[in-house]
Amino acid sequence: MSEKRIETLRMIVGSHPILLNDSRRVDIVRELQRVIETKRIAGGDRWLLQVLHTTRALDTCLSRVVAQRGWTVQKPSLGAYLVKLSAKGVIVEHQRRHWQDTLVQPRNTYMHSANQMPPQRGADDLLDEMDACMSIVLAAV
Amino acid sequence: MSRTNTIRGLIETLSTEGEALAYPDHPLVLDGPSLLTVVKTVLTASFVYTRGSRPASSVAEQARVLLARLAYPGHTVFEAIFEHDSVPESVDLGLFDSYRVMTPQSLSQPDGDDAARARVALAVESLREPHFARFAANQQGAFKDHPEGARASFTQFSPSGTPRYKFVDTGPLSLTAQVPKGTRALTISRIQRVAETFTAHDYGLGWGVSALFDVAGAVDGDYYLEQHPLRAQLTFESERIGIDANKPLRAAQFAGGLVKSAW
Repeated sequence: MSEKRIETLRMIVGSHPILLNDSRRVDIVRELQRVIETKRIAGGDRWLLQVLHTTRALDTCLSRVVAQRGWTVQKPSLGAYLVKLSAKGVIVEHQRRHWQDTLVQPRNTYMHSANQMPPQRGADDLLDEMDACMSIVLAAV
Repeated sequence: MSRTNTIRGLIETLSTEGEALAYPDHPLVLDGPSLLTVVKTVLTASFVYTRGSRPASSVAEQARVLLARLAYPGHTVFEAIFEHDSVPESVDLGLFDSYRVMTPQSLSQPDGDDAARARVALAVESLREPHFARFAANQQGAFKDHPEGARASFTQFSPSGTPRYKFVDTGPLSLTAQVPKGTRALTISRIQRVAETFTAHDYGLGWGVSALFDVAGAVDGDYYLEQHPLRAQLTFESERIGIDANKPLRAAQFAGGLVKSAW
């Protein structure tokens, strides 16, 4: 995980017009800051915390983008936000499917299943996909 | 003064105004701005030109800036910072919103033409949607072939007289760019050069910024670019060193390359 990547995203989120007046903007920025702070932690626990903080930032970011656009989802979840963003043309359907497969499902596995850890390559890919998802959505709205 | 010290000095100066980050890492941009700053919620991407830098007005440099403009959100201000002895005679802002001049003691306030800036911003925003549509289409090519995600594999390129890349005609509307074997850093550099070539070709850069406006006008409501991808046969193996190993591939797709990986 690149600290510069997180700092870049933090600055983009913190200044984005769609989130400037949103009550959760500060929370998203703070969550990304927590990703950077995990560098003080050693071992596998650091990765799990990176995923936790990154996914919380992503979830809240997408939920607030959807809300700021005046769109609603029946049952809030990362998958539901991606469905709404696809339906509204912010992302396309195959991107939604890709992130459902490479982001939502593995994230759910590692967040909810005891002692489940991916290989290092899988861990890096999950975090990078979250970053890419956030940056692509924020560039498109 | 070395470039490193120049950047460091700018960080110190800009940090007094707000937040400043040297060499930001954006998931879609291989060679982006030198600096990213936030001052009172205004996000600015700064490209720094020192003695020996590629000219800001060069086609390749315009392509580099345009790719960054499309990748970063539309509210981002793009500025050029020139060292006092590197200011071009005619400051053609091209795709920049403003420029500043840096001396050893100070950094000038941003300057530029508001009307020109508005025109550039409008042209870029007109290109954003079709550009991202083509990016998505390019990704689909990779996803469809390799549903587990876009991975890169390795293809040996002729070692003798290896160019940075070469183009091969593969159809009436498409070219293939073959990137030779190299280290990750060298491969990234070569892919960036290919990306700049694609972008310059797609958007008519080198014919003046007015050509960009013509393209923007032509693609408005029309997925021209989606129908005319440039196909890049990019095969490379990136070293897994704990950072975003798929970024070169993703950035190449963002720049218009349909990446074919040979498995």
